[in-house]
Amino acid sequence: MQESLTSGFEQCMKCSICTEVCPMMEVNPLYPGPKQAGPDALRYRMLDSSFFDENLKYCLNCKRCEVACPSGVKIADIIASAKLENAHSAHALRDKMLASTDFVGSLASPFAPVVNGVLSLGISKSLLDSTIGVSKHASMPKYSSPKFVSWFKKQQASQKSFGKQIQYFHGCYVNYNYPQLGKAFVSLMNACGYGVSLLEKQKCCGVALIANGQKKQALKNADINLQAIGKANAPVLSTSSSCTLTIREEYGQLLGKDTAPSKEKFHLAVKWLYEQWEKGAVKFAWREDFKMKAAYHTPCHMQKLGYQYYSIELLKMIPGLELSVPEQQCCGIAGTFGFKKEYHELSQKIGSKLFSSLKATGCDYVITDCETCKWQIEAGCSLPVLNPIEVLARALDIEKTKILNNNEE
Amino acid sequence: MRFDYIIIGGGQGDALLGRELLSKGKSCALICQGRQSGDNSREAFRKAGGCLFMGDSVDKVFYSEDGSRIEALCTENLGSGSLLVADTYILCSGRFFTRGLCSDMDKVYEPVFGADVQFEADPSLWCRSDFFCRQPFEDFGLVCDEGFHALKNGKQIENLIVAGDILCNGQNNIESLCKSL
Repeated sequence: MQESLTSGFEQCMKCSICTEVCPMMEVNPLYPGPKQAGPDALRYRMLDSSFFDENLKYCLNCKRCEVACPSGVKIADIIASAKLENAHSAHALRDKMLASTDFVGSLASPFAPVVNGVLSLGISKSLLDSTIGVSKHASMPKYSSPKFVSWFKKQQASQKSFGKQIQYFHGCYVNYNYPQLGKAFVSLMNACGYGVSLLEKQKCCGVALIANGQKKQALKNADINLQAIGKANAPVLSTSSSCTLTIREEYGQLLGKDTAPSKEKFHLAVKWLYEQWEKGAVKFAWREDFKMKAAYHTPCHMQKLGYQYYSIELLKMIPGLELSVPEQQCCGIAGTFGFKKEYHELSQKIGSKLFSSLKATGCDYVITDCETCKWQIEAGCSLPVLNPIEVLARALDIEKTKILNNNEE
Repeated sequence: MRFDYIIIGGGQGDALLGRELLSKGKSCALICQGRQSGDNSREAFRKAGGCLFMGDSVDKVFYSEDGSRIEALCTENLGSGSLLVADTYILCSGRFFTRGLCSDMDKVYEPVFGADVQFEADPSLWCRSDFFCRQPFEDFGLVCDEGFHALKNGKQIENLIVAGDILCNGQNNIESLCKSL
């Protein structure tokens, strides 16, 4: 465990505000809560790891406790670190499959229509439920063919003609499940005058590996990604809040990596874009015929990063967008947690408050920066969910924006 | 990001003050380290249009060349490349419990701006042995001029206003609440 965690817990003054905001505490009496599971029990675990309580498996790592803590204690990191060192799963095969997003994605993507069809059949769902423990009630994310990377290869040559360049960390979700987000990102960046190249040799950020106790593989992915970011000769942008949190923060706090050099280069796209706009380096022209009524959901990891206002302020610039921002709540999916048979019901119970508040806004779309929040909200609210980058790309008058940014493509 | 006001919060009234400013048509951000139990005022501030940077703290302060004005702030979460800029900054960060004031063995200090604090020089006089009597350290706090501007090394910081418990000899919320029970 990192020294910042083993020394920082002494700052806890037992105010219990973390338990007040913990979404798991509200629905599950078996979970000891962030204060007890985190700083309180750490002092025992430091003496003897047999004090590890298996009920820590219920922690979602949403980090709402850390945001609420007035003393700056890294409560969720303390719990995640204990889980990473001590947790044992009764469903090792399932956890490995859910966490190995690159491996499973590369197998499933070439046969996407077949895989999606099979996975949506009741009989397949029941089989997965009874054999490896993936909940039959969960809607599995759809795979896509061709992969984003295959599509991008055809664009590569034209991207090099831009004078200004950025690199894209697409992650596994854009690559295997949702290439349209990557395409929207490329079109937005091009309109702003930037050519895109992909961060070389990138791997899944490892958020699911960390959550599922696959430390060895998570360390491997972290090394590859940090090395690639270190070599990058342009800003590296991501469109996922969870990937950004993992690479910027969790590689350091949970895996003991030095993230300081990569923090200089690795950014969430909305933050980078807002700051370029603020400096006058990027300008936007909006479509006059664009109309949308949407609610912005702040993902828990976005709130932890403190970046939500970059998304909100960019979206507020769109003249035809009627945007509401309900109170921040956890959607309950926590990456792969909500897909697991034994946790699916808890996950839905946690999300139900968010689903109601989103529906109450009367929106036609939900906008959020996290892919797993998207899956949970789409299943729970039956509303289409978009990433802010997609909304910006749709609302932008591409041609006028290109002219504003002196695009010399 | 640019605002009319940035409140460095932590004190009891930070979000109420923010809402008051929003109601006057001003843009306002509130930076606070965490929540306060049972307190909904910060959510109300957010709903009213304020930017709430919860779970964050000021990491760096940029001053004008002569040190008389604050030009911008950086926070721990947003990082050193991201500036938060305001016309006026309000220090409403409470006292020791909320870390508006900090102390070591021989001095009491204000950790964000290093603003001037009035405190008893002899640490042996900071507390009285009777736990239930009013303690001298409860009167320690920031000194300010007539316009509630903070002072640093005796010089006014033109756009830093001090509000709430953090002021020396100011309102003592713990004592007021205890008396009202």
